[in-house]
Amino acid sequence: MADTGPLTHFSLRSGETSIDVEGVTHFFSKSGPTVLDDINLNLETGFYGLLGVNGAGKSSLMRIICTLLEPKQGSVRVNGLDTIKDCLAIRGQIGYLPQSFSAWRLYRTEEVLDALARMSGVTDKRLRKLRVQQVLEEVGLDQVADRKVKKLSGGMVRRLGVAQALVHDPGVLVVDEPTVGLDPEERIRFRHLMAELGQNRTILCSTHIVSDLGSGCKEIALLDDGKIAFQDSPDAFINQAQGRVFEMQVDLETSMQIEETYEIVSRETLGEQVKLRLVIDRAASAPDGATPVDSSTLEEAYLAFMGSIGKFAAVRADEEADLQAEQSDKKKSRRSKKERKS
Amino acid sequence: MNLGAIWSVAAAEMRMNRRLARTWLFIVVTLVFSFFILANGFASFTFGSSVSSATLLNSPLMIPYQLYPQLIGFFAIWVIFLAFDVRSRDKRDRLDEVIGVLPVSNFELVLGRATGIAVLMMVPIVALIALYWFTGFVLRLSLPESGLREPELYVTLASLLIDMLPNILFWVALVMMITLIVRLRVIAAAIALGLLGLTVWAQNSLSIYALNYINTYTAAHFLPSFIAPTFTNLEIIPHRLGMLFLSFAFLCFAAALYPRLDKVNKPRLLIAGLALICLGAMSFWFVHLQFNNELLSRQEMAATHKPYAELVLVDFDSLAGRIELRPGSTTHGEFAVEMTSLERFEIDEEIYISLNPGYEIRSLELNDRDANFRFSNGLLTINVPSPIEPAQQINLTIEVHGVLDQEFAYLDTAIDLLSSDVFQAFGLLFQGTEAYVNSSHYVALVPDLGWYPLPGAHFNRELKHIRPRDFFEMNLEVVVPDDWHVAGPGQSEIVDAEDLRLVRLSPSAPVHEIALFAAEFARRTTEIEGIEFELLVTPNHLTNVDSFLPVLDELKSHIQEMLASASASGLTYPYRTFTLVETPINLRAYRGGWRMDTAQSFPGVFAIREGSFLQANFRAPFDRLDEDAEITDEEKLEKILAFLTGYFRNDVHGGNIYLAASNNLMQYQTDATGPGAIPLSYLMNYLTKRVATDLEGFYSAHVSMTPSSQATTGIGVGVISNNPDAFTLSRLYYNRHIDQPNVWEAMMAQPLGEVDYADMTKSKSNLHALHLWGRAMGHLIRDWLGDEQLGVLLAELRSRYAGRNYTYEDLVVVASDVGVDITPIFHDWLTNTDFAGFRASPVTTVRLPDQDYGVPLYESSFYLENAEPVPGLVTVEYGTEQNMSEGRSGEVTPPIKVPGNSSVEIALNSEEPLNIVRVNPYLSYNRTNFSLEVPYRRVYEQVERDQKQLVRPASWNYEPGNAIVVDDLDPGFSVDESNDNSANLPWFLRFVTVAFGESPTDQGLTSYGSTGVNIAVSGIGSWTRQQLDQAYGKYRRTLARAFVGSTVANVHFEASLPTSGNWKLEYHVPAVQSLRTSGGLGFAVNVEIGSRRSRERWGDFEMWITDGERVVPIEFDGESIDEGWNLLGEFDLEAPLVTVSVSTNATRGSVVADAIRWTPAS
Repeated sequence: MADTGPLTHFSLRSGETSIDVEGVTHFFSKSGPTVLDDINLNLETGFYGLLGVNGAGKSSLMRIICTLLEPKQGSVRVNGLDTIKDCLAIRGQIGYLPQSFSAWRLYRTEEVLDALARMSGVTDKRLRKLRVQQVLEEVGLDQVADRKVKKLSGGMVRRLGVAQALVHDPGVLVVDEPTVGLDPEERIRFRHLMAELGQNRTILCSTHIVSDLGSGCKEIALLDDGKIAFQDSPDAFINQAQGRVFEMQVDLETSMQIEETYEIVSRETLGEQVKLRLVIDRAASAPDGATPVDSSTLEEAYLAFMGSIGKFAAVRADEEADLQAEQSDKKKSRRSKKERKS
Repeated sequence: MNLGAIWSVAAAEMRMNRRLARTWLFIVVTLVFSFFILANGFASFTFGSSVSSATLLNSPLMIPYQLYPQLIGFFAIWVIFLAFDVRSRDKRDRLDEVIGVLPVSNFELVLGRATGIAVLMMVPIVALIALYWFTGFVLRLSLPESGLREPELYVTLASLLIDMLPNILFWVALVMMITLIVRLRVIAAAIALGLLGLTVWAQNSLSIYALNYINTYTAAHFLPSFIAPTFTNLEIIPHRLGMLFLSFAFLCFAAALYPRLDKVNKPRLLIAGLALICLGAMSFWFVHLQFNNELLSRQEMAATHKPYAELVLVDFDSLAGRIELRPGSTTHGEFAVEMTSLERFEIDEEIYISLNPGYEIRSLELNDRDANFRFSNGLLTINVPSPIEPAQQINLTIEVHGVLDQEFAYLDTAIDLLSSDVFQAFGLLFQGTEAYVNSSHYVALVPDLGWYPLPGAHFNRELKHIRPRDFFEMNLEVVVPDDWHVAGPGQSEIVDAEDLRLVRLSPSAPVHEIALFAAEFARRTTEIEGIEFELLVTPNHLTNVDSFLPVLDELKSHIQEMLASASASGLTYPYRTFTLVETPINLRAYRGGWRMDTAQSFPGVFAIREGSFLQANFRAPFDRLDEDAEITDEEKLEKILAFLTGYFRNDVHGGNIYLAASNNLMQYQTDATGPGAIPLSYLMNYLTKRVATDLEGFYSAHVSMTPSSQATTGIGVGVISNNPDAFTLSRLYYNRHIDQPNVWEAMMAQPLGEVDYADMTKSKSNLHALHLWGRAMGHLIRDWLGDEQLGVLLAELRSRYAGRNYTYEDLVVVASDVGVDITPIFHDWLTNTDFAGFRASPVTTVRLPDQDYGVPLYESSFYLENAEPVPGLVTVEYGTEQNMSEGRSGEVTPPIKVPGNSSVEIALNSEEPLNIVRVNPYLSYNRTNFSLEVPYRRVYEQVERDQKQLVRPASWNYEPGNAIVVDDLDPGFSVDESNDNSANLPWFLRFVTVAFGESPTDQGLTSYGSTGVNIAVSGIGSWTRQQLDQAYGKYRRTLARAFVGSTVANVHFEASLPTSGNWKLEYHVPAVQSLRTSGGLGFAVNVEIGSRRSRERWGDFEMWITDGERVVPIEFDGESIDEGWNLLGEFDLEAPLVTVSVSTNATRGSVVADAIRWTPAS
């Protein structure tokens, strides 16, 4: 967590928070695929993770929760309010970071937050100023508060997105792929922030980077092809992976053969030897010499789960896309730095 | 609806747009444009306003008209370019989803954004206007003599409070709605610009009546007046409300269409949008009703009065009574009219009186008995209670009360603003739109308002041949607030009582109409020759009056001289007082009727329009005088007086005080009636003005303040401000707008006795033809009779017919009684349009025996033929180049009469050989003067004989007998129908020519002259006609000319040859200046400027002869052509009809078609 300095964390709202999704089904055209199929979720105060590969329906569900989409069937209640009938009231209580976010390119960072806070109902100028300063520090953008958005790197823009979702101190926070483009340090900071905020808010965080959920996550829901394939605590999620995550130490040549056959989670070189952690699906058997691990990580559990439903390739495709996004962001960041120097 | 949320969205939108480069580009462009308008106005006012009121449009008073609509209009355009991508900008910035979850409704979001853009665009408008106002305010305080001042407050506030928001918001809302319908921002912008263009087109194309629906600027509704300001009216308010309703309806639809979940509000928005559309429609319907009521009301009034227009049943003898003016409120009148019956009335037969329909008649008695009457649409029909014999006195007493209806005034106006198109009425708008002013500051009652009983129906009063002018005695008491003054005919006798003032107006001579102007004026008086000159001016408009005080004595002498001169001719000023009164600029300055004469001149009263003399800037010319170290004090005073007199001499908008004052000498005392009354009245009035003031005047509401006249003003004022003696503006106007071929054609189209002046569609051509005829005839009579004899004639006419009307026959008798036979001059003027036509030989100069002391004597003679049966008159002006340079006149002979179909020899004597001999015909087919060829000799033949008489009969013919000449004005000359100049012009020039008025035509071809700055715009390959001394012409020397181009139109010279055989063909090519052209843009601007002549070099023309079925090409080598007649060859031709054709296909420059000449080859 960043040091908040002399500011004290304050809240602009009160009361219990919740998201209730009941039997939500959605499709974009009748002849097209069903994007969400009879989704039921009951989220109370806490930090929730929504997992799934790209195209699983996470964003559609989040947009429905955030009143951007009307579900074809079912209903969603946020803090007890219906997203269709009471959409205006709900919007005041939601902070939303869409998957694709930027901001007015000619605005300064703090101006973006100020404007959005004002439009979100933070009318008191002094209070708004404090909130803007606070969230800027929370997301680590306080040093670039007066920089124009067009000069921010992709990671900074993402953090700005998080900041704008928080700036009016909403009771419900819906963040869609919040850590895309963030470096590891920022991800850790984000994880901590979410854990802290989740103590008195309902936070739904959609991601395919499972590690971002961290230990503060109260419950995980995994969407697959528009259906909830899993919903339980992170521990239960890890437990379901029991017996499908293995560890082994082999020589270099063998490791290459194994990497071609199995889904490798991590790889550590120890002199002539290579230490591998791998995930197998239910149908496959572990390679010779591999021993089941006692405690797997969330990421391994996710991979194991996806492997169990035959979606290893989809997960890898997501990772590939992340990598490309990261490289693109780095380029942009370098360009931005050059411009500032010049 | 959460206003805080709306404002927060607006604030974000403002901040966003503030960062856009285009926003600042728009502001800078508008700033530059505004600065240009102000700078142009400032310069024109500072350096030109002292010359003439013609520059009124550029006075600070009129700047709001020029600036505010453009300023607001500009920003209305700019908002299109800010609003058209509001939604797509969100998508581009990937902020649409974040905005989607903001706790604002779609309507709040859309309204907030519209507000943001609107406010952002309104801020510079307010800032600019505030800056302009403040600067003007400071200038007024610091430099009061400069005449520069802040814009009028009411119209400024109205522009800001009433116009700005509806105009800006309307376009923002419309564009936002379009953007959400079509989604593609470029298409949305294109549609919005298309709609904007449509409104601009409509504003320039629709009638003024229809324009009321789309005119969205108060400053274009009213002429801003400081002395009778107007803030708004019952048409503007609902109009702007309608705009706002529509704007909010568009925003509702935009919110409903906004791609953002707001399901609950969507039906509400659609319903609200529809409801607002209905409200908007109702507002515009209300506006429509207002305008339509005005129009219908005027039409009904006109329809009521028109059937009785020619009935003249009674003659007013006197009008007495009392009228109480309640500023900003009602008018109360008690009138006693004495009249004489012109025929026998039986019981219940009707007498017709006109009276403003706004009045309620409280009591009415005829011959001291109650009489039955009807009062509808301003026509008071009184049933006679007992028989009345012809010439019997009738007494009418009537008490009226009410709010006067200004629609009653000028019912028969030739161009009615309510039904005219913008171009037709453009100049009229600036001449005031209100026929009645009754504000808390000022009351103006013009005669045509019918505020007092008027004899007969209120229609066609100006048709003097059927409605003789009714002169009557008057004795009227006017009641006004105690600190007010009243301008009216006769000396004001003032009686103050408590909080009211009673002013008695009782002029010593009859009047035919009464105008009253009342306000809290500052009053200055002075007496000259027993006449009180009274000046009534708004107190803070005395700056210029005071600045001329140093020349008060000189001014009095100047006036004294004129009065004495007029008196010596028997034309004394008839009243005890002559009042000059300041009138609000929005008060209509032209009258109704076919003529639409100036409404600044009334019996005993002259109206000075606000913004003209009293607010002109004389500081600049005064400063120039101060800087001139060589000038003596006496000369300085003379020049200052010249500024003052010159200002009014140069007035072309009906505000020439000399002419207004001289109206009192003749046409306000007696006027013509019967056949030819209108031209006769014009002529007598013209002659009176010339005798009394030696000035010529010119006013035509049709050209006054039009764009084309503004161009004339620009040229004239520029020259006059540097050289006040160069010419008068009215002369320039006359030359450019009256002395034109199309006006001559109109004048010669029908005899004066047959002109239908009631045909309002020909009002302009009839008036301009009258100006042309009147001036030419006036010159002729004045030169023929001389001022002394003319003065005697006019004085006798007035003396005999004062308070009555005279006919042409009466005039002939009066003339005869004073020893003048005027019938040869008038000839058969009422039934004939024939004129004399003059042609002359070259001048021959010989040296006669020297005079005493060896002074040489030269005799220059020439023959002058009048080839028409009508007798004509000319003078001959002659001299040397040296003594006639720089515009100086030469010697001028007395008028020389040349009988019809005869010739004279004219011999001119001089001490030096003449270089210049110019014949000045008066009223002839020649139309203008023409110079004669004066051959130069080193040594002149010496002859030993006495001088010849000035004029001797001769037998001389212009053409050799066997030549057949076809000139470009002859019937044998024709142009292909494809020579449609306006159709050949590029579209943008067609628009310009419509805006500035079509160029005059000369026998169907676009015409331009040959002296001064002459401009004609023509399509490439279109034939135009030019006057040129070097050209060939029977009476008028003109040629047809075209810029070489692809648009092919041929001209043809058709001749009838008496015999077949060999004929020589000659082609006349004058020396002409090369044309300036913009051929690349598809048009030619024919410009010739003064002496900077560059001779045209001709290319090879494409010419051919058509002889029956045979076509014979003609070789025309431009390089070998000489000025004058050029032999093109001998041709064996079949008689009778032979045509020579010339096309616009030539190898260079322009093509000329002047004249051809056939002579037998043998």
